[in-house]
Amino acid sequence: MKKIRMEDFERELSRWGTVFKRTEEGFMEKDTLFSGRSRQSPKEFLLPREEVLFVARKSKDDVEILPSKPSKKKVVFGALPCDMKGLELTSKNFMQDPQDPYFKKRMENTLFVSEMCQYPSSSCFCRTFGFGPRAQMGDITYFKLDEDTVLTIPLTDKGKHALKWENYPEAEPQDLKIMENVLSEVEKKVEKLDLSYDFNRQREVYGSDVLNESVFHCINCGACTFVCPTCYCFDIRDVKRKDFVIRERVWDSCMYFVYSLEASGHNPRKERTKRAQNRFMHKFFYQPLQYKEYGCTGCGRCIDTCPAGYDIRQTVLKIQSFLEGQNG
Amino acid sequence: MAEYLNPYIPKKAVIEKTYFESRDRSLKTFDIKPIECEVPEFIPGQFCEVSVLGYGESPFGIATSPTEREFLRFTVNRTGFVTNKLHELPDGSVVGIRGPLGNGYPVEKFKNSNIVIVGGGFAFTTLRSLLVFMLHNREDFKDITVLYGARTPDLFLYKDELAEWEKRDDVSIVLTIDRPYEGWDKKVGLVPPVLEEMAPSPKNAYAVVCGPPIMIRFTLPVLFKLGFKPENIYTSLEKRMKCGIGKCGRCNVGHKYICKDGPVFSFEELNKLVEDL
Ligand SMILES: Cc1cc2nc3c(=O)[nH]c(=O)nc-3n(C[C@H](O)[C@H](O)[C@H](O)COP(=O)(O)OP(=O)(O)OC[C@H]3O[C@@H](n4cnc5c(N)ncnc54)[C@H](O)[C@@H]3O)c2cc1C
Ligand code: SF4
Ligand code: FES
Repeated sequence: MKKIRMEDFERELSRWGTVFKRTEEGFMEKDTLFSGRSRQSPKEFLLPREEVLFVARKSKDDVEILPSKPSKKKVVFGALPCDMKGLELTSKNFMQDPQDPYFKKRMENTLFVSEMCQYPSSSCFCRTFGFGPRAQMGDITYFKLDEDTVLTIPLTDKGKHALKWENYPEAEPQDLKIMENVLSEVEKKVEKLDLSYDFNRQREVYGSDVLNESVFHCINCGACTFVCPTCYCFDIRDVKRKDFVIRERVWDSCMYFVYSLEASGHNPRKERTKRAQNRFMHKFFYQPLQYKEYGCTGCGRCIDTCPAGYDIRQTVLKIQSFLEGQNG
Repeated sequence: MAEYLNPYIPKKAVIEKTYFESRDRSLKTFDIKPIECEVPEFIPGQFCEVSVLGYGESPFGIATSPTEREFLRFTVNRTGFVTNKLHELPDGSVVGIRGPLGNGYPVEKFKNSNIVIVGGGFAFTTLRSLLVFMLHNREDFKDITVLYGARTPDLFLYKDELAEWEKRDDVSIVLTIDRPYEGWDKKVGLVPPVLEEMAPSPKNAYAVVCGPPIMIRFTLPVLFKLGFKPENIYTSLEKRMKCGIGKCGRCNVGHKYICKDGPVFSFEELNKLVEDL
C-alpha cells in the first residue's frame, strides 16, 4: 500500500474525471468528505434517475433516431464497501446478456475509489453477506489514516493507470498496524445475521401469513427502493416535444400500484402487502436463485429511511425460523 | 452499426395493411414490415415491442409464422393508451419494432408428437403462428387438434383462415362459443367442458393452452383428468412489461422474467414459482 496525502490523492484523481465525493446526501462535487454513510448510494452514476435512451426527430415523412450522448468521465470518491457491493449486484442484471449499452458505457466512464469503512451504525449488517468494512473494492481502495492521509492501493488496470503510483512512498509497518486495529474494531460493531435457508422454497413464503404480517406496516411509499443500492427497477416513457420525442428511462418502484397494473385493470399485486412482499422476495429469494448471491448488501439505508419503522432484518429472520418450523 | 446492438432502439417499420377482425372494432390486425432490414427470424410464440413514438410501446405476440416472412402480423385489442393510438394510425404510418423477444414455443420438442392447441379469445395470435408453422411442416408432427373458444362468433380471429383449416383433413378444428347465437351451427359451450367431451389422448402429446386466466384455470383440471402431465402442458403468460429484455424488473413471476425466460412456460416450471399472476 502507498501512503499519500489526501490533497495529492484527490488532485491526481481529478485528472481522470470530475470528482464526486461522499456527502451526507449522496455523491457530489463538494470539498469535504462526510464521515458516515451517505443517504443515497452511488447507483445513480450507473443508472441515473433519468436517462435518455434515444431522441427521435420527426420530419415530413420520416423519423430519424439519434442515440443519446455518451456520459462524461467521473470519479466516485469514497464509496463504502456496501456501496460497491450494491453496484456489483446491480451490474449482474445490466451486464448479463443482452448487455445494457448505457450502463456499460457509464461503467467505463466511471472510476470507483472506495474507502474502507470506519462508520458502522446500528442499522449496518453487511457482514451477513460475505464482505465487510475492510473489503477492498472498486478500481482503487483506500484507508483513511487521518484527515490528511490515506493508505491506498489500485485494484484494477483502470486504477493502476489513474495515478502515478511510483511517485509515492510505501506505507510504514506501523501505519498498517493502525489500519488493522481500527478495522477490526469497526468489524466488531457490525451485525452478522446467520442465514441459511433454501431459496427454492419461494412458494411457501410469498403470500404466507408470516411474510404478510412481517411487512404489514409498510405504507408503500417507495423510499426504501430509491435509497437501496441494489434496487434498479425502471420505467420507460416518451416525452413529446414539438418535433422530436425523447424516450427515457426513469427510476421506478415495485412498491407502487401502477407498477404491475395491466391494461385490463387486472393487477397481480393489488394488495399493499403483496408489493412489499415482492420486494423482500426479490432480495432474499429471487436474486439468490438468479445469481447465487443475496440481493441485499446490509447497508441499512432502508431501515434508516423507512417512515413506518420497517426493519428488513426482522423479516428475514422470521422467514428463516418459519421455514425451519415447517421442516419439523 | 453500434445502434444495432442497442436493444432499446426500435427498428423503423411501416404499417402496410390493417383490417378489423371483429365488427365491434376492438380487434385490429396490423401487417407491419421493417423498412431498413428483413423481417427478422423468429420462433412461434415470440413477441415484439411495438412503438408509437411519443406514446410509448407495448408487447404483442407475433401472429405470423416463421414460414411467412413477408411481414410481421399483430392483432391488437384496443384497450389503453398505446393500443388506442395504434388503432388510429392510418396505413403507411411508421412505427418502431423491437424483437423478436422471449423464448417461444418449444417447437423442436413438439416434433413427432400429437399436439393439442386450446385457445380462448384474442390470445389466438401466437397460436396461429404455431399452427401455420406446424401445417407448413406437417410431416414433422403427428395429430394436430385445435379447440378455439370465443364469446361470440364475431370475436374469433382470422375467420377466413379458420374456415380453410376446417376443410383440411390433416388437422381437426373445433370452434365453440359461450352461448347460443343466431346462425351459429357449431359447438356451443365453454372451453373446459368442450375439451372434456373431445377427450384428446395424452399419449405422446403436448397441450398448448392460451387464453384468459379464468379459461386456463378451468382447463387445467380437465387436462390433468385426461392424463396430461404438467411438463407436457405449455402456456404463454402475460404481465405488464416495459423493457422486454429482463432488465427493468417489471414482469417477474418468482425469479423468472416473463419477457426473457418466457412468455412460454410449462406448468411443471410454473409449479416451482410463486403465484403472482
Ligand atoms: C408477451 C405478451 C404478448 C401480448 N400479446 C398481445 C397481443 O397479441 N394482442 C394484444 O392485443 N395484446 C397483447 N398483449 C397485451 C398488450 O401488451 C397490452 O394490452 C398493452 O400493452 C396495453 O397497452 P396500452 O398502452 O394500450 O394500455 P395502458 O393500460 O394504457 O398501458 C400503459 C402501458 O403499460 C404496459 N402494459 C399494460 N398492460 C399490459 C399487459 N397486459 N401486458 C404487457 N404490458 C402492459 C405497456 O407498456 C403499456 O404501454 C400481450 C402482452 C404480453 C406481455
Ligand atoms: S420505506 Fe418503509 S414504508 Fe416506504 S416502501 Fe419501504 S418498507 Fe414500505
Ligand atoms: S419487461 Fe422489463 S423485465 Fe420484463
